[in-house]
Amino acid sequence: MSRRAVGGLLTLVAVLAAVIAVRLGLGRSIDGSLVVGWPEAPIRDFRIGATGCAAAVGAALGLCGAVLQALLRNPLASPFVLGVTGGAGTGVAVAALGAAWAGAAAPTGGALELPAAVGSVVALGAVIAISRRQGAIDPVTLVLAGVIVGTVCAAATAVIESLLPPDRRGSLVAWAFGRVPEVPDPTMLRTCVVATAGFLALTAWMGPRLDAATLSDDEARSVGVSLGALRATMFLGCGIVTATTVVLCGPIAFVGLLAPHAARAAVGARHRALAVASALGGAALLVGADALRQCVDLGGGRLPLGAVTAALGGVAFLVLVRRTAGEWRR
Amino acid sequence: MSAPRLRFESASVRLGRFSLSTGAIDPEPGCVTVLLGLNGSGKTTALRAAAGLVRPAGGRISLDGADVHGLPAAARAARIAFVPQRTEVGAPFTVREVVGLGRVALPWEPARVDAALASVGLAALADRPFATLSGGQQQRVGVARALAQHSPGGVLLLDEAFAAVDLPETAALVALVRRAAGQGATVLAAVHDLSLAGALADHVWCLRDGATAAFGPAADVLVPASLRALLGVEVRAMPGSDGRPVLAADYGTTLAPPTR
Repeated sequence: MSRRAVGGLLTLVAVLAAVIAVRLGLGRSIDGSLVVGWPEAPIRDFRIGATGCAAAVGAALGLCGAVLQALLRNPLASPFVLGVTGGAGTGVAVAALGAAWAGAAAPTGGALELPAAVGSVVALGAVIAISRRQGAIDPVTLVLAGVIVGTVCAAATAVIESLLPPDRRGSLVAWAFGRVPEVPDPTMLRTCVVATAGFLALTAWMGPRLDAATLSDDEARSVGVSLGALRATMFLGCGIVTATTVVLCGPIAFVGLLAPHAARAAVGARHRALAVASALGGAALLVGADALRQCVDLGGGRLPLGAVTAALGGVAFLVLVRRTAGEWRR
Repeated sequence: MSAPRLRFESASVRLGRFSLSTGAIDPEPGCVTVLLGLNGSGKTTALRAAAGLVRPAGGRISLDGADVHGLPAAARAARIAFVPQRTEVGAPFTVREVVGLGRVALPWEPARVDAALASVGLAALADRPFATLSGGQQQRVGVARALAQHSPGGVLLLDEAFAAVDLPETAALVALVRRAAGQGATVLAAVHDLSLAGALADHVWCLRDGATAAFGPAADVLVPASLRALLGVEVRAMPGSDGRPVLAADYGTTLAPPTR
Protein backbone atom coordinates (compact mmCIF):
# COMPACT_ATOMS: atom_id res chain seq x y z
CA MET A 1 0.00 0.00 0.00
CA SER A 2 1.42 3.40 -0.95
CA ARG A 3 2.46 6.05 1.57
CA ARG A 4 -0.37 8.27 0.30
CA ALA A 5 -2.92 5.52 0.92
CA VAL A 6 -1.67 4.88 4.46
CA GLY A 7 -1.72 8.62 5.22
CA GLY A 8 -5.22 8.94 3.78
CA LEU A 9 -6.52 6.01 5.82
CA LEU A 10 -5.07 7.44 9.04
CA THR A 11 -6.67 10.80 8.23
CA LEU A 12 -10.06 9.15 7.69
CA VAL A 13 -9.74 7.24 10.98
CA ALA A 14 -9.07 10.55 12.74
CA VAL A 15 -12.04 12.20 11.00
CA LEU A 16 -14.33 9.32 11.96
CA ALA A 17 -13.16 9.45 15.58
CA ALA A 18 -13.80 13.20 15.69
CA VAL A 19 -17.27 12.89 14.17
CA ILE A 20 -18.18 10.10 16.59
CA ALA A 21 -17.02 12.27 19.51
CA VAL A 22 -19.18 15.14 18.27
CA ARG A 23 -22.23 12.91 17.82
CA LEU A 24 -21.86 11.36 21.27
CA GLY A 25 -21.79 14.85 22.74
CA LEU A 26 -24.95 16.07 20.96
CA GLY A 27 -28.59 15.27 21.65
CA ARG A 28 -32.08 16.61 22.12
CA SER A 29 -33.79 16.77 25.48
CA ILE A 30 -37.43 15.77 25.95
CA ASP A 31 -38.52 19.41 25.55
CA GLY A 32 -36.73 19.51 22.17
CA SER A 33 -33.79 21.75 23.13
CA LEU A 34 -30.27 20.95 21.97
CA VAL A 35 -28.12 19.38 24.68
CA VAL A 36 -24.34 19.37 24.47
CA GLY A 37 -22.24 17.19 26.74
CA TRP A 38 -21.74 13.64 27.92
CA PRO A 39 -25.06 12.43 29.41
CA GLU A 40 -25.94 9.87 32.04
CA ALA A 41 -27.55 6.48 31.29
CA PRO A 42 -29.92 5.72 29.65
CA ILE A 43 -29.50 8.76 27.31
CA ARG A 44 -25.83 7.84 26.97
CA ASP A 45 -26.78 4.34 25.84
CA PHE A 46 -29.22 5.76 23.27
CA ARG A 47 -26.48 7.91 21.78
CA ILE A 48 -24.01 5.03 21.70
CA GLY A 49 -26.63 2.82 20.04
CA ALA A 50 -27.48 5.42 17.40
CA THR A 51 -23.82 6.22 16.72
CA GLY A 52 -22.83 2.58 16.38
CA CYS A 53 -25.77 1.94 14.09
CA ALA A 54 -24.99 4.95 11.88
CA ALA A 55 -21.31 3.99 11.69
CA ALA A 56 -22.11 0.40 10.67
CA VAL A 57 -24.70 1.39 8.06
CA GLY A 58 -22.55 4.22 6.68
CA ALA A 59 -19.55 1.91 6.35
CA ALA A 60 -21.68 -0.70 4.57
CA LEU A 61 -23.13 1.81 2.10
CA GLY A 62 -19.75 3.46 1.41
CA LEU A 63 -18.17 0.07 0.71
CA CYS A 64 -21.01 -1.01 -1.61
CA GLY A 65 -20.79 2.31 -3.47
CA ALA A 66 -17.08 1.82 -4.14
CA VAL A 67 -17.64 -1.74 -5.40
CA LEU A 68 -20.56 -0.77 -7.66
CA GLN A 69 -18.68 2.20 -9.12
CA ALA A 70 -15.77 -0.12 -10.01
CA LEU A 71 -17.77 -3.00 -11.45
CA LEU A 72 -20.10 -0.77 -13.45
CA ARG A 73 -17.33 1.72 -14.40
CA ASN A 74 -19.66 4.49 -13.43
CA PRO A 75 -18.88 7.28 -10.93
CA LEU A 76 -22.60 7.81 -10.34
CA ALA A 77 -23.31 4.24 -9.20
CA SER A 78 -24.41 3.59 -5.62
CA PRO A 79 -26.91 1.30 -3.89
CA PHE A 80 -29.49 4.12 -3.73
CA VAL A 81 -29.06 5.46 -7.26
CA LEU A 82 -29.24 1.94 -8.72
CA GLY A 83 -32.45 1.07 -6.90
CA VAL A 84 -30.81 -1.56 -4.66
CA THR A 85 -31.90 0.24 -1.52
CA GLY A 86 -35.42 0.63 -2.89
CA GLY A 87 -35.58 -3.07 -3.79
CA ALA A 88 -34.59 -4.04 -0.27
CA GLY A 89 -37.25 -1.68 1.08
CA THR A 90 -39.91 -3.32 -1.05
CA GLY A 91 -38.74 -6.71 0.22
CA VAL A 92 -39.19 -5.54 3.81
CA ALA A 93 -42.64 -4.10 3.02
CA VAL A 94 -43.74 -7.34 1.34
CA ALA A 95 -42.63 -9.30 4.42
CA ALA A 96 -44.59 -6.92 6.67
CA LEU A 97 -47.71 -7.26 4.52
CA GLY A 98 -47.38 -11.04 4.35
CA ALA A 99 -47.16 -11.26 8.13
CA ALA A 100 -50.20 -9.00 8.52
CA TRP A 101 -52.29 -11.05 6.09
CA ALA A 102 -51.19 -14.27 7.80
CA GLY A 103 -52.21 -12.86 11.17
CA ALA A 104 -48.64 -13.16 12.46
CA ALA A 105 -46.75 -10.63 14.56
CA ALA A 106 -44.88 -7.86 12.68
CA PRO A 107 -41.59 -9.38 11.49
CA THR A 108 -38.33 -8.10 12.97
CA GLY A 109 -34.66 -9.01 12.91
CA GLY A 110 -33.73 -12.05 10.91
CA ALA A 111 -37.25 -12.43 9.48
CA LEU A 112 -36.63 -9.26 7.45
CA GLU A 113 -33.09 -10.01 6.27
CA LEU A 114 -33.98 -12.56 3.60
CA PRO A 115 -36.82 -10.63 1.92
CA ALA A 116 -34.67 -7.48 1.96
CA ALA A 117 -31.74 -9.34 0.40
CA VAL A 118 -33.98 -10.88 -2.26
CA GLY A 119 -35.47 -7.47 -3.04
CA SER A 120 -32.08 -5.78 -3.38
CA VAL A 121 -30.54 -8.50 -5.55
CA VAL A 122 -33.63 -8.64 -7.81
CA ALA A 123 -33.61 -4.83 -8.19
CA LEU A 124 -29.90 -4.76 -9.05
CA GLY A 125 -30.32 -7.65 -11.49
CA ALA A 126 -33.19 -5.83 -13.19
CA VAL A 127 -31.21 -2.59 -13.50
CA ILE A 128 -28.21 -4.37 -14.99
CA ALA A 129 -30.38 -6.41 -17.39
CA ILE A 130 -32.19 -3.27 -18.59
CA SER A 131 -28.96 -1.36 -19.18
CA ARG A 132 -27.11 -4.06 -21.11
CA ARG A 133 -26.82 -3.41 -24.81
CA GLN A 134 -24.97 -5.86 -27.04
CA GLY A 135 -23.26 -7.38 -24.02
CA ALA A 136 -22.03 -4.07 -22.57
CA ILE A 137 -23.57 -1.92 -19.84
CA ASP A 138 -24.48 1.54 -21.10
CA PRO A 139 -23.57 4.02 -18.31
CA VAL A 140 -26.37 6.50 -19.03
CA THR A 141 -29.03 3.79 -19.32
CA LEU A 142 -27.69 2.26 -16.11
CA VAL A 143 -28.37 5.38 -14.06
CA LEU A 144 -31.75 5.95 -15.73
CA ALA A 145 -32.74 2.32 -15.13
CA GLY A 146 -31.63 2.62 -11.50
CA VAL A 147 -33.73 5.73 -10.97
CA ILE A 148 -36.76 4.09 -12.60
CA VAL A 149 -36.43 0.82 -10.68
CA GLY A 150 -35.88 2.75 -7.44
CA THR A 151 -38.98 4.85 -8.13
CA VAL A 152 -41.08 1.79 -8.95
CA CYS A 153 -39.87 0.10 -5.76
CA ALA A 154 -40.72 3.21 -3.71
CA ALA A 155 -44.19 3.27 -5.27
CA ALA A 156 -44.67 -0.42 -4.55
CA THR A 157 -43.59 0.15 -0.94
CA ALA A 158 -46.08 3.01 -0.62
CA VAL A 159 -48.90 0.85 -2.01
CA ILE A 160 -48.03 -1.92 0.42
CA GLU A 161 -48.01 0.57 3.28
CA SER A 162 -51.56 1.57 2.36
CA LEU A 163 -52.63 -2.07 2.50
CA LEU A 164 -51.24 -2.62 5.99
CA PRO A 165 -53.56 -2.49 9.02
CA PRO A 166 -53.48 1.05 10.49
CA ASP A 167 -51.71 -0.04 13.66
CA ARG A 168 -48.78 -1.37 11.62
CA ARG A 169 -48.40 1.52 9.20
CA GLY A 170 -46.71 4.00 11.51
CA SER A 171 -43.47 2.12 12.04
CA LEU A 172 -43.12 1.29 8.34
CA VAL A 173 -43.72 4.90 7.29
CA ALA A 174 -41.12 6.19 9.75
CA TRP A 175 -38.70 3.49 8.60
CA ALA A 176 -39.30 4.35 4.91
CA PHE A 177 -37.97 7.90 5.52
CA GLY A 178 -34.66 6.48 6.72
CA ARG A 179 -33.78 6.79 10.40
CA VAL A 180 -31.13 5.68 12.86
CA PRO A 181 -32.71 3.78 15.75
CA GLU A 182 -31.41 4.77 19.18
CA VAL A 183 -32.04 1.24 20.38
CA PRO A 184 -31.14 -0.89 17.37
CA ASP A 185 -32.21 -4.52 17.22
CA PRO A 186 -29.03 -6.34 18.37
CA THR A 187 -29.51 -9.17 15.86
CA MET A 188 -29.93 -6.81 12.92
CA LEU A 189 -26.99 -4.65 14.01
CA ARG A 190 -24.77 -7.70 14.46
CA THR A 191 -25.78 -9.04 11.05
CA CYS A 192 -24.95 -5.69 9.42
CA VAL A 193 -21.56 -5.47 11.14
CA VAL A 194 -20.59 -9.07 10.33
CA ALA A 195 -21.77 -8.83 6.71
CA THR A 196 -19.95 -5.52 6.20
CA ALA A 197 -16.72 -6.74 7.82
CA GLY A 198 -16.76 -9.92 5.76
CA PHE A 199 -17.51 -8.09 2.52
CA LEU A 200 -14.81 -5.52 3.31
CA ALA A 201 -12.23 -8.28 3.78
CA LEU A 202 -13.35 -9.93 0.52
CA THR A 203 -13.24 -6.63 -1.37
CA ALA A 204 -9.81 -5.72 -0.05
CA TRP A 205 -8.52 -9.18 -1.04
CA MET A 206 -10.00 -8.79 -4.52
CA GLY A 207 -8.81 -5.17 -4.78
CA PRO A 208 -6.37 -5.71 -7.67
CA ARG A 209 -9.02 -7.62 -9.62
CA LEU A 210 -11.48 -4.79 -9.04
CA ASP A 211 -8.81 -2.39 -10.33
CA ALA A 212 -8.58 -4.41 -13.54
CA ALA A 213 -12.37 -4.70 -13.79
CA THR A 214 -12.47 -0.96 -14.49
CA LEU A 215 -10.91 -1.71 -17.90
CA SER A 216 -13.13 -2.73 -20.83
CA ASP A 217 -14.42 -6.31 -20.60
CA ASP A 218 -11.95 -7.57 -23.21
CA GLU A 219 -8.94 -5.89 -21.63
CA ALA A 220 -9.93 -6.94 -18.10
CA ARG A 221 -10.26 -10.57 -19.15
CA SER A 222 -7.04 -10.42 -21.16
CA VAL A 223 -5.06 -9.45 -18.04
CA GLY A 224 -6.38 -12.53 -16.27
CA VAL A 225 -9.58 -11.49 -14.46
CA SER A 226 -12.54 -13.89 -14.51
CA LEU A 227 -15.09 -11.12 -14.86
CA GLY A 228 -18.22 -13.28 -14.64
CA ALA A 229 -17.25 -14.82 -11.30
CA LEU A 230 -16.00 -11.49 -9.92
CA ARG A 231 -19.21 -9.66 -10.85
CA ALA A 232 -21.50 -12.39 -9.55
CA THR A 233 -19.67 -12.51 -6.21
CA MET A 234 -19.48 -8.78 -5.71
CA PHE A 235 -23.02 -7.96 -6.89
CA LEU A 236 -24.41 -10.62 -4.55
CA GLY A 237 -22.28 -9.21 -1.72
CA CYS A 238 -23.53 -5.66 -2.40
CA GLY A 239 -27.12 -6.88 -2.43
CA ILE A 240 -26.80 -8.69 0.89
CA VAL A 241 -24.87 -5.93 2.66
CA THR A 242 -27.25 -3.22 1.41
CA ALA A 243 -30.18 -5.32 2.57
CA THR A 244 -28.77 -5.45 6.12
CA THR A 245 -28.58 -1.64 6.16
CA VAL A 246 -32.15 -1.20 4.88
CA VAL A 247 -33.54 -3.58 7.48
CA LEU A 248 -31.77 -1.58 10.18
CA CYS A 249 -32.22 2.04 9.07
CA GLY A 250 -34.51 2.08 6.04
CA PRO A 251 -33.40 3.56 2.72
CA ILE A 252 -30.49 5.99 3.20
CA ALA A 253 -29.70 8.08 0.14
CA PHE A 254 -26.37 9.06 -1.39
CA VAL A 255 -23.91 7.93 1.33
CA GLY A 256 -22.87 5.13 -1.03
CA LEU A 257 -22.36 7.67 -3.80
CA LEU A 258 -20.39 10.30 -1.91
CA ALA A 259 -18.19 8.21 0.39
CA PRO A 260 -16.13 6.58 -2.43
CA HIS A 261 -15.46 9.97 -4.03
CA ALA A 262 -14.27 11.42 -0.73
CA ALA A 263 -12.20 8.28 -0.14
CA ARG A 264 -10.58 8.52 -3.58
CA ALA A 265 -9.46 12.06 -2.77
CA ALA A 266 -7.81 10.70 0.38
CA VAL A 267 -6.20 7.41 -0.75
CA GLY A 268 -6.30 7.29 -4.57
CA ALA A 269 -8.26 4.99 -6.86
CA ARG A 270 -6.78 1.54 -6.12
CA HIS A 271 -9.47 -0.60 -4.60
CA ARG A 272 -7.63 -2.36 -1.79
CA ALA A 273 -7.18 0.92 0.08
CA LEU A 274 -10.29 2.48 -1.45
CA ALA A 275 -12.57 -0.22 0.00
CA VAL A 276 -11.35 0.47 3.54
CA ALA A 277 -11.37 4.23 2.99
CA SER A 278 -14.91 4.17 1.57
CA ALA A 279 -16.14 2.26 4.62
CA LEU A 280 -14.47 4.77 6.94
CA GLY A 281 -15.76 7.69 4.88
CA GLY A 282 -19.29 6.29 4.75
CA ALA A 283 -19.30 5.80 8.53
CA ALA A 284 -18.07 9.37 9.07
CA LEU A 285 -20.66 10.77 6.63
CA LEU A 286 -23.64 9.05 8.21
CA VAL A 287 -22.56 9.70 11.80
CA GLY A 288 -21.91 13.32 10.76
CA ALA A 289 -25.35 13.61 9.12
CA ASP A 290 -26.93 12.19 12.28
CA ALA A 291 -25.02 14.76 14.36
CA LEU A 292 -26.13 17.52 11.98
CA ARG A 293 -29.79 16.64 12.33
CA GLN A 294 -29.49 16.94 16.11
CA CYS A 295 -28.69 20.61 15.55
CA VAL A 296 -31.47 21.38 13.06
CA ASP A 297 -35.08 21.81 14.16
CA LEU A 298 -37.42 23.38 11.64
CA GLY A 299 -40.31 23.30 14.10
CA GLY A 300 -41.24 19.64 13.83
CA GLY A 301 -38.42 18.14 15.85
CA ARG A 302 -35.34 16.45 14.43
CA LEU A 303 -35.31 15.91 10.69
CA PRO A 304 -35.46 12.34 9.36
CA LEU A 305 -31.91 11.18 8.66
CA GLY A 306 -32.85 10.07 5.15
CA ALA A 307 -34.04 13.59 4.39
CA VAL A 308 -30.70 15.08 5.54
CA THR A 309 -28.59 12.69 3.44
CA ALA A 310 -30.92 13.11 0.45
CA ALA A 311 -30.76 16.91 0.62
CA LEU A 312 -26.97 17.03 0.95
CA GLY A 313 -26.38 14.13 -1.41
CA GLY A 314 -28.72 15.43 -4.10
CA VAL A 315 -26.69 18.60 -4.48
CA ALA A 316 -23.45 16.64 -4.47
CA PHE A 317 -24.89 14.23 -7.07
CA LEU A 318 -25.59 17.11 -9.47
CA VAL A 319 -22.07 18.46 -8.95
CA LEU A 320 -20.64 15.00 -9.65
CA VAL A 321 -22.72 14.64 -12.82
CA ARG A 322 -21.22 17.85 -14.14
CA ARG A 323 -17.64 17.36 -12.97
CA THR A 324 -16.70 13.69 -13.04
CA ALA A 325 -18.94 11.70 -15.34
CA GLY A 326 -17.12 12.86 -18.45
CA GLU A 327 -13.64 12.72 -16.95
CA TRP A 328 -13.62 9.03 -16.00
CA ARG A 329 -14.26 7.57 -19.42
CA ARG A 330 -12.19 8.72 -22.36
CA MET B 1 10.91 -20.26 -22.58
CA SER B 2 10.37 -22.05 -25.88
CA ALA B 3 8.46 -20.11 -28.50
CA PRO B 4 4.72 -20.73 -28.24
CA ARG B 5 2.85 -22.20 -31.17
CA LEU B 6 -0.45 -20.44 -31.76
CA ARG B 7 -2.63 -22.24 -34.27
CA PHE B 8 -5.99 -21.47 -35.81
CA GLU B 9 -7.34 -24.95 -36.59
CA SER B 10 -10.23 -24.19 -38.96
CA ALA B 11 -11.85 -22.13 -36.23
CA SER B 12 -15.26 -20.60 -36.83
CA VAL B 13 -16.54 -17.81 -34.60
CA ARG B 14 -20.08 -16.45 -34.59
CA LEU B 15 -20.97 -13.06 -33.12
CA GLY B 16 -24.61 -12.26 -33.78
CA ARG B 17 -25.07 -12.19 -37.55
CA PHE B 18 -21.32 -12.05 -38.22
CA SER B 19 -19.25 -15.17 -38.60
CA LEU B 20 -15.55 -15.74 -39.13
CA SER B 21 -13.97 -18.85 -40.60
CA THR B 22 -10.22 -18.79 -40.25
CA GLY B 23 -9.20 -21.96 -42.06
CA ALA B 24 -5.82 -23.36 -40.99
CA ILE B 25 -3.56 -20.46 -40.00
CA ASP B 26 -0.22 -21.11 -38.35
CA PRO B 27 1.50 -17.83 -37.38
CA GLU B 28 5.25 -18.21 -37.17
CA PRO B 29 6.82 -17.67 -33.70
CA GLY B 30 9.43 -14.92 -33.76
CA CYS B 31 7.60 -13.17 -36.60
CA VAL B 32 5.04 -10.42 -36.98
CA THR B 33 1.87 -11.48 -38.79
CA VAL B 34 -0.15 -8.52 -40.02
CA LEU B 35 -3.91 -8.87 -40.44
CA LEU B 36 -5.29 -6.85 -43.33
CA GLY B 37 -8.84 -6.37 -44.53
CA LEU B 38 -11.68 -3.91 -44.82
CA ASN B 39 -13.89 -2.87 -41.89
CA GLY B 40 -15.97 -5.83 -40.77
CA SER B 41 -13.75 -8.40 -42.45
CA GLY B 42 -13.00 -10.18 -39.16
CA LYS B 43 -9.61 -8.86 -38.02
CA THR B 44 -10.74 -7.89 -34.50
CA THR B 45 -12.76 -11.08 -34.15
CA ALA B 46 -9.74 -13.16 -35.10
CA LEU B 47 -7.57 -11.40 -32.51
CA ARG B 48 -10.25 -11.64 -29.79
CA ALA B 49 -10.59 -15.34 -30.49
CA ALA B 50 -6.80 -15.77 -30.34
CA ALA B 51 -6.87 -14.00 -26.95
CA GLY B 52 -9.45 -16.50 -25.71
CA LEU B 53 -12.11 -13.80 -25.36
CA VAL B 54 -14.64 -15.51 -27.61
CA ARG B 55 -15.25 -19.22 -27.92
CA PRO B 56 -15.08 -20.71 -31.42
CA ALA B 57 -18.32 -22.38 -32.48
CA GLY B 58 -16.32 -24.89 -34.48
CA GLY B 59 -12.71 -25.94 -34.89
CA ARG B 60 -10.36 -24.49 -32.29
CA ILE B 61 -7.51 -22.12 -31.57
CA SER B 62 -4.65 -23.71 -29.70
CA LEU B 63 -1.52 -22.60 -27.92
CA ASP B 64 1.06 -25.37 -27.78
CA GLY B 65 -1.75 -27.85 -28.27
CA ALA B 66 -4.04 -26.52 -25.52
CA ASP B 67 -7.37 -24.89 -26.34
CA VAL B 68 -6.81 -21.15 -25.78
CA HIS B 69 -10.37 -20.51 -24.63
CA GLY B 70 -10.15 -23.34 -22.11
CA LEU B 71 -6.99 -22.05 -20.40
CA PRO B 72 -7.46 -20.62 -16.89
CA ALA B 73 -7.61 -16.81 -17.05
CA ALA B 74 -4.34 -16.28 -15.18
CA ALA B 75 -2.46 -18.89 -17.21
CA ARG B 76 -3.71 -17.32 -20.42
CA ALA B 77 -2.69 -13.84 -19.24
CA ALA B 78 0.82 -15.11 -18.55
CA ARG B 79 1.25 -16.15 -22.18
CA ILE B 80 -1.04 -13.93 -24.27
CA ALA B 81 -1.17 -10.12 -24.08
CA PHE B 82 -3.88 -8.29 -26.00
CA VAL B 83 -4.10 -4.59 -26.89
CA PRO B 84 -7.57 -3.43 -28.00
CA GLN B 85 -8.19 -0.52 -30.34
CA ARG B 86 -8.83 1.75 -27.39
CA THR B 87 -7.93 1.40 -23.73
CA GLU B 88 -10.89 2.42 -21.57
CA VAL B 89 -10.45 2.92 -17.84
CA GLY B 90 -13.51 3.46 -15.65
CA ALA B 91 -11.62 4.87 -12.66
CA PRO B 92 -9.32 7.87 -12.18
CA PHE B 93 -6.07 5.89 -12.28
CA THR B 94 -2.65 7.34 -13.05
CA VAL B 95 -0.73 6.18 -16.10
CA ARG B 96 1.55 3.99 -13.95
CA GLU B 97 -1.47 2.37 -12.28
CA VAL B 98 -3.03 1.54 -15.65
CA VAL B 99 0.21 -0.04 -16.88
CA GLY B 100 0.45 -1.97 -13.60
CA LEU B 101 -2.91 -3.61 -14.34
CA GLY B 102 -1.02 -5.83 -16.78
CA ARG B 103 0.46 -7.62 -13.75
CA VAL B 104 -2.82 -8.16 -11.86
CA ALA B 105 -2.86 -11.92 -12.35
CA LEU B 106 0.94 -12.27 -12.46
CA PRO B 107 3.72 -11.83 -9.89
CA TRP B 108 4.07 -8.13 -9.09
CA GLU B 109 7.26 -6.74 -10.68
CA PRO B 110 7.38 -2.92 -10.49
CA ALA B 111 10.59 -2.87 -12.53
CA ARG B 112 8.71 -4.38 -15.47
CA VAL B 113 6.05 -1.70 -15.19
CA ASP B 114 8.68 1.03 -15.20
CA ALA B 115 10.52 -0.60 -18.11
CA ALA B 116 7.30 -0.87 -20.12
CA LEU B 117 6.52 2.80 -19.49
CA ALA B 118 10.01 3.82 -20.55
CA SER B 119 9.86 1.67 -23.67
CA VAL B 120 6.85 3.60 -25.02
CA GLY B 121 8.33 6.96 -24.00
CA LEU B 122 5.84 7.71 -21.22
CA ALA B 123 8.05 7.53 -18.12
CA ALA B 124 7.74 11.29 -17.64
CA LEU B 125 3.94 11.05 -17.61
CA ALA B 126 3.76 8.09 -15.21
CA ASP B 127 2.01 10.00 -12.44
CA ARG B 128 -0.42 11.90 -14.68
CA PRO B 129 -4.11 10.89 -14.61
CA PHE B 130 -4.71 8.56 -17.54
CA ALA B 131 -7.85 10.48 -18.56
CA THR B 132 -5.83 13.66 -19.20
CA LEU B 133 -3.69 12.06 -21.93
CA SER B 134 -4.33 12.46 -25.66
CA GLY B 135 -5.76 9.57 -27.68
CA GLY B 136 -2.34 8.63 -29.05
CA GLN B 137 -0.73 8.72 -25.61
CA GLN B 138 -3.54 6.55 -24.23
CA GLN B 139 -2.87 4.02 -27.00
CA ARG B 140 0.80 3.96 -25.98
CA VAL B 141 -0.31 3.31 -22.38
CA GLY B 142 -2.32 0.34 -23.68
CA VAL B 143 0.79 -1.01 -25.42
CA ALA B 144 2.85 -0.46 -22.26
CA ARG B 145 0.22 -2.33 -20.22
CA ALA B 146 0.52 -5.28 -22.59
CA LEU B 147 4.32 -5.14 -22.50
CA ALA B 148 4.27 -5.19 -18.68
CA GLN B 149 2.19 -8.36 -18.96
CA HIS B 150 4.03 -9.90 -21.90
CA SER B 151 6.71 -12.50 -21.27
CA PRO B 152 9.58 -12.82 -23.75
CA GLY B 153 8.52 -15.46 -26.20
CA GLY B 154 4.81 -15.03 -25.47
CA VAL B 155 2.00 -14.04 -27.80
CA LEU B 156 1.31 -10.34 -28.47
CA LEU B 157 -1.98 -9.37 -30.12
CA LEU B 158 -2.35 -5.78 -31.35
CA ASP B 159 -5.68 -4.54 -32.67
CA GLU B 160 -4.96 -1.29 -34.52
CA ALA B 161 -3.00 -0.37 -31.44
CA PHE B 162 -1.08 2.51 -33.09
CA ALA B 163 -3.93 4.09 -35.06
CA ALA B 164 -3.89 7.40 -33.16
CA VAL B 165 -0.14 7.54 -32.46
CA ASP B 166 1.98 10.22 -34.15
CA LEU B 167 4.66 9.28 -36.72
CA PRO B 168 7.83 9.44 -34.57
CA GLU B 169 6.21 7.39 -31.81
CA THR B 170 4.79 4.95 -34.36
CA ALA B 171 8.33 4.39 -35.64
CA ALA B 172 9.47 3.72 -32.08
CA LEU B 173 6.59 1.30 -31.49
CA VAL B 174 7.35 -0.53 -34.75
CA ALA B 175 10.92 -1.02 -33.56
CA LEU B 176 9.62 -2.18 -30.18
CA VAL B 177 7.28 -4.77 -31.68
CA ARG B 178 9.92 -6.03 -34.08
CA ARG B 179 12.33 -6.38 -31.15
CA ALA B 180 9.71 -8.41 -29.23
CA ALA B 181 9.33 -10.68 -32.24
CA GLY B 182 13.11 -10.95 -32.46
CA GLN B 183 13.08 -12.26 -28.88
CA GLY B 184 10.70 -15.04 -29.89
CA ALA B 185 7.26 -13.50 -29.49
CA THR B 186 4.44 -14.50 -31.81
CA VAL B 187 2.95 -11.16 -32.85
CA LEU B 188 -0.38 -10.67 -34.63
CA ALA B 189 -1.21 -7.08 -35.53
CA ALA B 190 -4.36 -5.81 -37.24
CA VAL B 191 -3.63 -2.60 -39.16
CA HIS B 192 -5.27 -0.36 -41.75
CA ASP B 193 -2.23 1.78 -42.53
CA LEU B 194 -0.40 0.15 -45.44
CA SER B 195 2.93 1.83 -44.64
CA LEU B 196 2.66 0.38 -41.14
CA ALA B 197 1.82 -3.02 -42.59
CA GLY B 198 4.91 -2.87 -44.77
CA ALA B 199 7.12 -1.85 -41.85
CA LEU B 200 5.83 -4.56 -39.51
CA ALA B 201 4.95 -7.62 -41.53
CA ASP B 202 6.90 -10.82 -41.89
CA HIS B 203 3.69 -12.60 -42.83
CA VAL B 204 0.33 -11.27 -43.91
CA TRP B 205 -3.12 -12.69 -43.21
CA CYS B 206 -5.76 -11.17 -45.47
CA LEU B 207 -9.40 -11.37 -44.41
CA ARG B 208 -12.45 -10.67 -46.51
CA ASP B 209 -16.07 -10.98 -45.40
CA GLY B 210 -15.23 -13.19 -42.44
CA ALA B 211 -12.99 -15.62 -44.29
CA THR B 212 -9.30 -15.95 -45.05
CA ALA B 213 -8.50 -14.48 -48.44
CA ALA B 214 -4.75 -15.05 -48.33
CA PHE B 215 -2.00 -15.99 -45.89
CA GLY B 216 1.67 -16.00 -46.65
CA PRO B 217 5.04 -14.24 -46.51
CA ALA B 218 4.88 -10.47 -46.78
CA ALA B 219 6.98 -10.51 -49.91
CA ASP B 220 4.30 -12.56 -51.68
CA VAL B 221 1.14 -10.89 -50.30
CA LEU B 222 2.09 -7.23 -49.86
CA VAL B 223 2.14 -6.51 -53.56
CA PRO B 224 0.00 -3.89 -55.31
CA ALA B 225 -2.08 -6.36 -57.30
CA SER B 226 -3.25 -8.44 -54.35
CA LEU B 227 -3.74 -5.37 -52.13
CA ARG B 228 -5.84 -3.71 -54.85
CA ALA B 229 -8.04 -6.80 -55.01
CA LEU B 230 -8.37 -6.94 -51.22
CA LEU B 231 -8.81 -3.26 -50.36
CA GLY B 232 -10.24 -1.68 -53.51
CA VAL B 233 -7.61 1.04 -53.82
CA GLU B 234 -4.61 1.40 -56.07
CA VAL B 235 -1.46 0.79 -54.04
CA ARG B 236 2.01 2.11 -54.82
CA ALA B 237 5.11 0.33 -53.53
CA MET B 238 8.70 1.43 -53.35
CA PRO B 239 11.72 -0.06 -51.66
CA GLY B 240 12.43 1.18 -48.14
CA SER B 241 15.82 1.88 -46.59
CA ASP B 242 15.65 -1.33 -44.53
CA GLY B 243 14.67 -3.49 -47.46
CA ARG B 244 11.02 -3.59 -46.51
CA PRO B 245 8.47 -2.17 -48.93
CA VAL B 246 7.06 1.32 -48.38
CA LEU B 247 3.39 1.07 -49.31
CA ALA B 248 0.88 3.82 -49.86
CA ALA B 249 -2.66 4.03 -51.17
CA ASP B 250 -3.15 6.18 -54.26
CA TYR B 251 -6.46 7.75 -53.35
CA GLY B 252 -6.59 9.67 -56.61
CA THR B 253 -7.26 6.45 -58.47
CA THR B 254 -10.88 5.37 -58.49
CA LEU B 255 -11.52 1.65 -58.55
CA ALA B 256 -14.65 -0.40 -58.41
CA PRO B 257 -15.26 -1.42 -54.77
CA PRO B 258 -14.08 -4.93 -53.95
CA THR B 259 -16.68 -7.66 -54.05
CA ARG B 260 -18.34 -7.97 -50.62
